Amino acid sequence: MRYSLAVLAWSFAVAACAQSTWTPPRTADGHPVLEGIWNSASLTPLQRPASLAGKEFFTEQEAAAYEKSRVQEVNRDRRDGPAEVDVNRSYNELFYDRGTKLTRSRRTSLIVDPPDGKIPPMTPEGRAKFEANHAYAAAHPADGPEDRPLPDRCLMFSQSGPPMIPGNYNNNYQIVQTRDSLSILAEMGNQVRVIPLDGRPHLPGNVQEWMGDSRGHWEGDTLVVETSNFRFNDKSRFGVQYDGLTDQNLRITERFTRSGPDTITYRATISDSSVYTRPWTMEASLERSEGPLYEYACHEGNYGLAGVLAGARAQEKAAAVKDISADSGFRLPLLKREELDEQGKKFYDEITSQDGRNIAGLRGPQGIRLYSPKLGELQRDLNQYLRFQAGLSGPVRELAILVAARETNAQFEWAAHEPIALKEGLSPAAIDVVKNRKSISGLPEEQAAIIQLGREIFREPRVSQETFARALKVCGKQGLVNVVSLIGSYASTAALLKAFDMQLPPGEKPPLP
Amino acid sequence: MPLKHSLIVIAVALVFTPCFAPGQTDRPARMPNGKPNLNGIWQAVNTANWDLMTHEPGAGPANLGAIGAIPPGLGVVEGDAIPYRPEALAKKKENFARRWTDDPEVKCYLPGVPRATYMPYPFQIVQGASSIMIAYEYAGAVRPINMGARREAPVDGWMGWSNAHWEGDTLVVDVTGLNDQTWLDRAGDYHSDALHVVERYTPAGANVLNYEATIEDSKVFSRPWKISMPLYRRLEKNAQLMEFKCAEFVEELLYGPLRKHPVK
Repeated sequence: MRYSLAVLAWSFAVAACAQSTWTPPRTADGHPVLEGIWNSASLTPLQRPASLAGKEFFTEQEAAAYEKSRVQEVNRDRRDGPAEVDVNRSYNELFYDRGTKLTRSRRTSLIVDPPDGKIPPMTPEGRAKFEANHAYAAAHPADGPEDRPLPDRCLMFSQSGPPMIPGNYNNNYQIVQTRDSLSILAEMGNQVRVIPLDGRPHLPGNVQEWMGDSRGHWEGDTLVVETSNFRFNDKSRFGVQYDGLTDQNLRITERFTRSGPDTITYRATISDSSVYTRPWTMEASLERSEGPLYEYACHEGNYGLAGVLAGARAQEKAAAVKDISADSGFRLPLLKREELDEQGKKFYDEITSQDGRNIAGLRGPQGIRLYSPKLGELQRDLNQYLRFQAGLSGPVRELAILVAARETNAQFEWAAHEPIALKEGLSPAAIDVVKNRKSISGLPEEQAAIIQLGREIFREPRVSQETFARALKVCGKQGLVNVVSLIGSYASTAALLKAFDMQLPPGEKPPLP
Repeated sequence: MPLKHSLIVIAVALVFTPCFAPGQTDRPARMPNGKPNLNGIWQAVNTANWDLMTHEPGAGPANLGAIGAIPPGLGVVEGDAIPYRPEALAKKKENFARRWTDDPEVKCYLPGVPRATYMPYPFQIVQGASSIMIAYEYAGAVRPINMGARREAPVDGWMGWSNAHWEGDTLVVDVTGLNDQTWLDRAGDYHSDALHVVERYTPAGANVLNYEATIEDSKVFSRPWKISMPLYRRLEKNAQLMEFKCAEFVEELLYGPLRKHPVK
């Protein structure tokens, strides 16, 4: 008792010295006024950096130097790094409002207890859960919305709390205060807490809320807010209450004290006996701000979450092409010359020779045909005949090939032949009609007839009498047999390319829509 | 309030309102500055969120049976007619036809004003000495009400921008800066970004507020029109707003097709 009185006397003395000229304005019911708009932006890190171990406060000069260097360090509008660093800074300075000052106390960390300024070690139970959760997250970063951090889902934000931990932006709060309740609107995430001050009990234990259930009461001139009933589940590692881990034992006690004409000193003690080995306390200062607060309609504009999930699905799809051999670009490894018999070696040498007659070399249909050299030779002879000796003009020949490639959706074949078709003088207009399956009307008769013929070969039970007659008229009897065979030959190659899933050269986009 | 003063008030109430059965308890509470004290949890008890106009009952989505059915209700619109401009009526009809997918409430979007008031959820007025906050249970929607010098809306938003003042015992809230994304009810009544709403909250006893909203939008309506309804205090001793972050409950609807393993 005597000790308590001594402490009390000392407290009064300290209070008297520290606040000799200033007393907080009071509400009609006698409590300090907390109502107003406040901002907690601060450069002070939550945990004390290793480089400042053992140092609880900066001196005034050290604080100024730290603020200067920190502002420079976090600045994202610098262009002094390689491209990758640049990309990571693309969420640039415009988005940030993290302040340019340390908190008023010049502490080196927001955490004031434990004295080392760090979140205390986890219990073995907490550590095991933390690691299991992180391992799961690494393996399932975006299987569904539940796997994403709570801010991605517009459910929770560290600034809105509790505890209200200053963050990179939107550190604005509006407090409205009455005798029986106090509301805190956090601009971050548009989150509001209405805290009863009338002594009522917490919600029943089976009600769990992301923001928890808060109750407030006055202890002298300090508003004390106790929060429990936090929502937790296996995914709550993404919670932002503290270090990503919450638990049914989590209790948070916040203390709001007017410490100056324009300041509320905010303290939050986080206690969770099954996760952390001891409670910890952070302190921030809420500085008076002009406001106003803006509406952060997070969920309404949440294109990000859909984008993250769609991106994950796209990556999975890309990664699913697993059966492609890296050396060949298709589903079988590329045969080496020494693995082949004499006929195979001869064919191999032909493919790799630079006579200009082989378009894709080994990384194309011929690479596949190495597995059947005799077939390769026959097919080569057939193609060479149809392309160069059958009397078909360059544009007609390439048009027939493109029609075959288009109608079989053979991306590789199209990509290989479109440049050749242009080089042979086939008009871009004709290529566009084939590629985008447009109407043939307006094209020269020869081209129109061949395109229509090719389309009907692949799409219809039989080529119509009219189309046949039209093609016969422009190609002649032998020419028509040759054109149809050329289409068929390239459809055969397309079948090979599709079955063995021949890949386009790395970085090349599929040309066909 | 000093005890002596309270006693005088009670005595006066008893003497001058002998026919008014609830006596003092039915007088609106007052703030220290004499203005009505609107603090409390309030809720509309009507079917305006289904349809502002008088409507018959109707079937909802078949799989929900009577749970999803539309309850009948009397209209809250003065004259029971919304004065759509002729060219704007088609959009309302189209909205109505697509209401089970297109109503922003389906996606847990912020309700806008005045719809927030008559959503079937409670809301809390926190009236301080210098400003007012209205917090709505639905979607955690919230509106700071500026009681100071009028300030123009800095940007359009879902819940708009509220400047308020007292006219006698009526809190008059002038709402601008409303975007065109919200609807006025589940029947597809809508507005444009030219919407201007003037709300009037007038105590009618200790536990009732008379609520009026004048709706003006020259792009959609041919003249301003008015809705009115009582708002009732939630009298349960333990009444409080609970957390209804419905964003979580619409994730399957909005993002389900993007799951790695879509739910069948």
